Amino acid sequence: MRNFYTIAPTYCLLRKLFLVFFLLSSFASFSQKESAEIHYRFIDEESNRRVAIQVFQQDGSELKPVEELDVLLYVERLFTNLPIGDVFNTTDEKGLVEIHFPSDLPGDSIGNLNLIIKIEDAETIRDTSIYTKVKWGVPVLYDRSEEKRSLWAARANAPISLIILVNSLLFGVWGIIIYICYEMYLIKKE
Amino acid sequence: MINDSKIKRDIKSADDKVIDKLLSTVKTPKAIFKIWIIVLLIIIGFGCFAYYRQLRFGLIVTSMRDYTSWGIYISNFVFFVAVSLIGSLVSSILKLAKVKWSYPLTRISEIIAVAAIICAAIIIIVDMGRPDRFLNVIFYGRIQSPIIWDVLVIMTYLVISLLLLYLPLLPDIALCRDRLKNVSAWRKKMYKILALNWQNKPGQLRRLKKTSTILEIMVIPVAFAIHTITSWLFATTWRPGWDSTNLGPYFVSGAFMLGAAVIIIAMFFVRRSFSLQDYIGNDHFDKMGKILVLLSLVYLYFNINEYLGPAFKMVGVEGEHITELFSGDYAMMYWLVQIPGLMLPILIMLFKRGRQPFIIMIVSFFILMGAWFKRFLIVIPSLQHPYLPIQDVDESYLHYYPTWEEWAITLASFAGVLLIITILLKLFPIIPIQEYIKHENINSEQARDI
Repeated sequence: MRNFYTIAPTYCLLRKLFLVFFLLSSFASFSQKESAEIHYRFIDEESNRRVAIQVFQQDGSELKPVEELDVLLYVERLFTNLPIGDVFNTTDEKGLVEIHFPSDLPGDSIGNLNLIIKIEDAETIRDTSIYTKVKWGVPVLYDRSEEKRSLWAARANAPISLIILVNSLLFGVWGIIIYICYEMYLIKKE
Repeated sequence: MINDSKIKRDIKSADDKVIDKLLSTVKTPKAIFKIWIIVLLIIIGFGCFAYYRQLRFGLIVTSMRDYTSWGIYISNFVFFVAVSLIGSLVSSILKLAKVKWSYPLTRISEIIAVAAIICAAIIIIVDMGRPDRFLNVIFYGRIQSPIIWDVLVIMTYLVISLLLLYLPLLPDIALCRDRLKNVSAWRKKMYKILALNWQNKPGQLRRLKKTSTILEIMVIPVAFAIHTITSWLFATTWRPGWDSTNLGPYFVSGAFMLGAAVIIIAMFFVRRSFSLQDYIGNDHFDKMGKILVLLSLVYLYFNINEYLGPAFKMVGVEGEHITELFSGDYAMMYWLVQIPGLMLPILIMLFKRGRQPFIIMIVSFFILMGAWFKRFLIVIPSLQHPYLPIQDVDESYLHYYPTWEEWAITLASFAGVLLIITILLKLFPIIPIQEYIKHENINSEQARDI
């Protein structure tokens, strides 16, 4: 029992020290990272579409291009983001990378696509995301027939006949139940 | 004239004896009754602990996974819904058909129906991973979904069953209010409130007759609807064994058979526990036995229809499902359900000796067990054979053996049904007293006329 009492405070102290160490080290590593400036441009040359992304970092009073940095480009889809380009899209000595963009991605009704440019897990740059839009998608007009009233449609598009049938059955049966409750009230008052 | 008044006096004295005897079931409970209640509460308590674990850790504590997403909770739910149909069988179909011998059984059947439908509603909520979202089913449910129809019809049937139990009870509750002197104050107060100022006035009797007849008629389509819609939960889901147009009547006929078996078991124990041999005679067992044979034969007919087609064709996954039932993992359970749970009972009950109270109670118990496992066979093997092949899944997804939590909750639901039945049997007269006296008086008048 004595050992137990002596060990417990030591363990608490170690845990606190570890926590402090962890917080300090994360703060130190975070403080070493700096923000970056991302410039981007959409290049549309005939059928060859590219997104040119250039990354700069503040160096004293001037902007210095960031070399050998992996930049991620995504297109927002319904459930997740679709990565565009190669596995690694690395910047050159000018901090520039050009990513080829497919021409067959379905967009909204006027062809807009939502893009995300991201920098993640870089050594000296904080995680950064830029959200933008480009009209490079194939316009998709949804089939309106899907929104017709049917058994498989959403709640708001239930077939009228079914709504009438279910509700008239419910009103009929519950109407009788209410009538019986009223009769019970009259029995009490008799 | 003197003779007439003597006859009236005799009748009144006989009525008083009947009332005293039938009210004796409501008096202060014996020690054995209290022990029975404690045992049931312990089982329910254990089930509540298992449910607490399920709420705390989620449905992962059950054996339900992606494929077998309905387990014994749903098979138990279908079982209770089936049991609840007994209320409509005895208290309305037989009553409307003016089957005179059945009226002492009406209250027992109504009590069983109420207890079963309450526990069916509870077990559905137990099956939900997030019961706090139950109201979303009402607020955001799609009217196109059979699940919504089922929720609506269960609530309706619950209310109708309660009314069907309560309304014919009014004159008997008034008797309890007026005649029971040595009962606790809260019971006196309860009888006073529930009696709705009943005084046997002509107007009250007229209203009671009218409302009871309406309820007796209305409960039949609602009872058919509740079990047919429960069958549609399966029939509208594309799985082998469920993709059948036969499923609605198959479920309804099975429910009637099960209900009749349940009432026979209840009759046996109620008659014994409350010494009601004068009111529930051997003749009642004989007649209920004949009804049960008829209902079992109808169910056997639907069973043959249900399996013959797919077994003859043996197409794809349907064939796999049938093989699984006939000679695979579930063969033992399947044949136990079909032979001792259905065919043997029919054979035994065809003979008069087989309809003796003790024998028919045992036979009904076999039918009850068979009916429970039948619901298991309807739900689980079908889910394990989806039309799309199962690929790259954990071993636990391929089999279903209920965990102790599922068994504990299932047992607790059974204990819950028994507890509700026991409490209602102890609070209210088991045999409809006024109705009994009325029938007896009519019989004796007819005898005198002859």
